[in-house]
Amino acid sequence: MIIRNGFILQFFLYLAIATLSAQPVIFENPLSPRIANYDIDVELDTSNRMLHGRETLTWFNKTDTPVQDLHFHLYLNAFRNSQSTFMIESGGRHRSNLIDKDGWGYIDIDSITIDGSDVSEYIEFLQPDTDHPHDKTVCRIPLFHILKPGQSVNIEIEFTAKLPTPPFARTGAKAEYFFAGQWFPKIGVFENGVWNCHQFHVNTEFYADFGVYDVRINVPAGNIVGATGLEVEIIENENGTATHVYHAEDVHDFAWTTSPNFVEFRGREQDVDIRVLMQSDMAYQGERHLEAAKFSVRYFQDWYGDYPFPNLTVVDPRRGAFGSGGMEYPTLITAGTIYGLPAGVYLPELVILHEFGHNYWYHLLASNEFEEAWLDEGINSYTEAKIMDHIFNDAGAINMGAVQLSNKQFHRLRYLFFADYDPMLKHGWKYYSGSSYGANSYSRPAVILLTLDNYLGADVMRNAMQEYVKEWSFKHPKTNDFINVISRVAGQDLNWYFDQILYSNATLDYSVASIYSREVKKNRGVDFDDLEENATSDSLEVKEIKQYESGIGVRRLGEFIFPVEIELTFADGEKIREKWDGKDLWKRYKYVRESKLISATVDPEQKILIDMNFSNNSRTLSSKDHGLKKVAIRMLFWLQSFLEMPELLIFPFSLSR
Amino acid sequence: MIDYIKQAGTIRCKNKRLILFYFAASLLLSLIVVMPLRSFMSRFLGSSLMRSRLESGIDVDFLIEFWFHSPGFTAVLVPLLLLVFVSYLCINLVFSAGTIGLFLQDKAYESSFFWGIGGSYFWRFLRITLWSALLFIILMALSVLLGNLRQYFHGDDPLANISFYWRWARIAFRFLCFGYVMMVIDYARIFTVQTDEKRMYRAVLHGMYFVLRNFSRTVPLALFYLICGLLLFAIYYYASPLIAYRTGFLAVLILFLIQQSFIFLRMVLKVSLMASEVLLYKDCSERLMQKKYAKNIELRPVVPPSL
Repeated sequence: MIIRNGFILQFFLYLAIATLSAQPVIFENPLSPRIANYDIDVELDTSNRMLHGRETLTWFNKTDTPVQDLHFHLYLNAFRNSQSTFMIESGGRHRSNLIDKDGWGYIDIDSITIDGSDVSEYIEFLQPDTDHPHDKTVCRIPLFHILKPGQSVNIEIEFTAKLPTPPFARTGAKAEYFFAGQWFPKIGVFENGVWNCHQFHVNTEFYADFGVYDVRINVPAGNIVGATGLEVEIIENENGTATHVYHAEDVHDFAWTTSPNFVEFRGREQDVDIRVLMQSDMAYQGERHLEAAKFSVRYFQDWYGDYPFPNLTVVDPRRGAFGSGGMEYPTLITAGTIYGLPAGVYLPELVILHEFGHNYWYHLLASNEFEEAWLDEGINSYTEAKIMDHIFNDAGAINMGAVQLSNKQFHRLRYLFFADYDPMLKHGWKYYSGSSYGANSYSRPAVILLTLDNYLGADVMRNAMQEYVKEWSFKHPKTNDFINVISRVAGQDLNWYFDQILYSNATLDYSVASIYSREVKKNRGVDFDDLEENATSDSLEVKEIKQYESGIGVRRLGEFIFPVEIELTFADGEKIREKWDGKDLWKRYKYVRESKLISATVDPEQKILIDMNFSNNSRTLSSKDHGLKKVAIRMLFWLQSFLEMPELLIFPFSLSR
Repeated sequence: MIDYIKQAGTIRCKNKRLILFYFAASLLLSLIVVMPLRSFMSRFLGSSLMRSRLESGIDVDFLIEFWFHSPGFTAVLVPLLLLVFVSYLCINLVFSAGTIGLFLQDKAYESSFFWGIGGSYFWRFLRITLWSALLFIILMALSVLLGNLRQYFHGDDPLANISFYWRWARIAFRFLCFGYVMMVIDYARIFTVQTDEKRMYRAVLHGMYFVLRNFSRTVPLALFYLICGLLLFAIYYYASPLIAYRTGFLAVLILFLIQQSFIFLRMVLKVSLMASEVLLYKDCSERLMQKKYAKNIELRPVVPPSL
């Protein structure tokens, strides 16, 4: 008996070892708390763009609070009908894509069992954010037994999903191309004693806990698959399909794509294997994409910290499937390009760098994109601007001969148009408009952080960002966590700065309101005339030196207060720098010198990018007009040319239609 | 063709003043837009250093600031541009009638003749322009047909490269159409002045016929002047940066002179093209007349009786 029992024990031990050895181990020690762990089998029905899936979720309650129910995201139901929160808010439009009238997508839970008990009939749809009763993007499932802190629960879900076509709001299918994002029932985040599980809004992205994903994707044989994590093996099935087995550790989402038309490009940068999946008609841009992915990895690792994952996959979305472009998932990003794109328009570079950046600001530092979108999009736009303008010499958006646009300028322009619509910190669906959400989540924080970068110094800021990555990787940082790290590294409390941005719509505009410089006249009048006469009668041979009284008045036109430098330039070449704390509405400076004042400039290096108007930042006593004349004669020339060549209109007309 | 070009040079030399007219119209009308625009910018820039910085080339910061802080600017600019465009078109109708009249008569510039013909043919030339616009719209509609051809060969979902090259093909087709319509307008005008035709659709039909009937002459002639224009632009394109980024009053003055020289030379080409087309038309008409004379057919007068 003992022997027999020993044999059984040995058998199970071997089985366990065999099973374990089949699962690759990416990280010897878990990098994250691994709260939500998924094991999913999914089968793609290409003709009906359906997904048939079976998911086993092992969820750990790692909080101090007992859990009575589970909340799940069913994101694909955003595309179920016109009454979902997403559709009501968007009117069926996301970015520049319209949902097709026959292209709806959805997800249905066919059955759900918790620790072996079927709870399918207890599924309840919730609308925690808005009063949209038909929205089915969040559901609640009660637990029969309270899940105590430290305990785990196994949930088995069978589901059927349909992908929208063409791809809409990051996910969907177009002909032979499939991109599955937000495709499976996904548990919310349990924190502070409640579920953080928002409806899917047009202006929000995602929030999830880290875990381990084992996913088996069944697609037609011959299809190429790209997905989050590492491909473990490909099993050829007898029915003409193939199962691609993927394993990912310490990630908080899983997306995949498949198409028979992908052309693969492979490369390696530092310690990361890069795989680029290009559409066949875009394959000629494969090397360009690969190069962009390489410098993204290189700069982020060098500047902000280690990318701990062994690989990165870049997906080029199919033509007509741009709805799935420009999106980030753990270790998998989608780009987007145009055939014939000039080399000087850095669209693919910018998109790849931005989306890879999200593997830091979203993936490693898994902030809540529903509630604090600026923490991922904003910080990412800042790092994108820093890197792009560094690589492309301050022309990080467009560099085509005389037309040069830096990434900073691009973000500042967007910021200017929506600077005061909302405070920066808001839940994604509560902004005035999609444009205000975009500006406050991307460009405004980018400009704010670039200004801070100039204020603290690039090295300090980079150290602070590195510290932020080190301290908050594989966690859920909040806005205050970010501010605390920056303040600590900078050695000063920066809440005075962030408070003005996060909780108000205050804008900043400094201007030089007045400037003068005049010769100092001798004192005259009852008390002085006699003295003057006496002085001259002494016949002292003192050569008079001309003195000039010069002065400026600077004003703060906005409510935002920020310390600023003022530079005054005198005729003899001398420059004086003054520092103004900007707390008062205005300040005057006065000087008596032997030289005339020529000009005054507030913020001479244009460090304060949040300044709403650079043109009033300076004044001169005698302005040179040649520049304006040059602009005017240029315009004159182009207008004359246009009058002679109206056929030029054919170009824009023909490109659009 | 070379003869027409050479003779056109002789006619052009007799009528140098015409070039000045075209040039002056272009300059003065453009100034109507540029002057207010300049004062708009001047007011916006005040006495800032940004004003001085403009000297060293295109300043994106300035463009951003100006665009953002001058919301009323486009409301003023767009109507002004339309006004100037329409005025330029009208003035050109007057000038081209006068020019064609002079060239048909092989005369040197005479004020009363030039302006007299210009005034008397203005409405007819305007009608030619409108009929030609209709022709252009019809030709543009043909590109839709080409779109259907693409769909036939490549289906609803063509590859990106096909779409890309298709777009260029469409642009090329539209340019060809535009070129054809411009030639039709020119020959319809010449025909109108020569025959004193009053039904302008007939003039346009004649223009269409004439261009196609004499394809081997009309098209190379137009192509020659087009290439000359492109070469001129290429020279300007490479020459202007030599001075465009220099600073100082002299640099501004030289740039202005280079630009206006380019425009002036374009006007020379424009007048030369008209002279060549008139010569070509006269030549072809005379040949036709000789043929018809041989057949004893009654001919219409070459020069309208009113002249």
